[in-house]
Amino acid sequence: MQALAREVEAWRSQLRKGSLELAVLLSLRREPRYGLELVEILNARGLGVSEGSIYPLLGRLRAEDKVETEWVDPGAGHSHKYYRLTRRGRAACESMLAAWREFAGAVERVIGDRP
Amino acid sequence: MSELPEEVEAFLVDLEKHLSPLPQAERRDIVAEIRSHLAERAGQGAGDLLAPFGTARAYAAAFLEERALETALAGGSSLAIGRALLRGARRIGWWYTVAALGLVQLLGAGLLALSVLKVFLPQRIGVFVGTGVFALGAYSGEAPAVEILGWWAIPVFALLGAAALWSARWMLRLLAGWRLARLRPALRA
Repeated sequence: MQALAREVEAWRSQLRKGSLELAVLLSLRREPRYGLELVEILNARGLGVSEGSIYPLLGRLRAEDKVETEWVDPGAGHSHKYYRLTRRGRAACESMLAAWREFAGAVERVIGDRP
Repeated sequence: MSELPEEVEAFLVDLEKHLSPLPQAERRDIVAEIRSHLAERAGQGAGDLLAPFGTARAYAAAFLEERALETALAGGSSLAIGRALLRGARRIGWWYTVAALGLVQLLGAGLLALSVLKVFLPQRIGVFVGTGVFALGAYSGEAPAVEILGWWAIPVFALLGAAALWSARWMLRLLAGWRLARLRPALRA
């Protein structure tokens, strides 16, 4: 039973990895945000993102020209590196969202087949 | 900027050191961003600040290798995959492994070449057996030897060559996939 729980947990982890990029792009749709802010938003939604994982992903998104960055110093306190969607990032977000819905819908239909 | 605990400062120094293959501006940018993150978490009264980041070396590798490996795997050439694997390699074992797989690829290419050459030099190419002689490939020795494969040398060498090329490439892709999976452990288990 413990082995099964481990396997399911590994599968959940894969699901999280697969959907993190879409979740980050979606969270940037309305306004620019910085790394810790993104982690907090995603975890408030129950996604279970670890703090460290976000920065290599954001780095890759920047290398792929899906986000652009700007350091903002609010005066008092820490300055933050904000990420904003580029046009390419917005287009990627829309296509990934469409693919996600299609896929989730298909899985839901299979679930509905259950006797 | 608030004071960070000593071990956090040490982590940031280490991180910058391990990011050294990146251009200085990019390296400093990453370190400044992580510093800002950790300072804010410290301000929130977080406990073990560094736990979600793992070791500085592994964390730096996530920035360095992930991109290189993904690009190489998508491109598919064995050379690119081998280079990406060696890029972040810290253990000598990786060099031996990639070198060995490179040799297997050379061997495979050599066998394919022999299967073609057999058409033009049928007397010289094949598997030669004689007293004290066993030669695979091209033989030009003095001792008398009999070639035992005949025209079978063409399919045999071609198949062996293709198998060597294919298996070395498969191993490289497997290793790259495994490394890539190891590089993305940062999501909470």
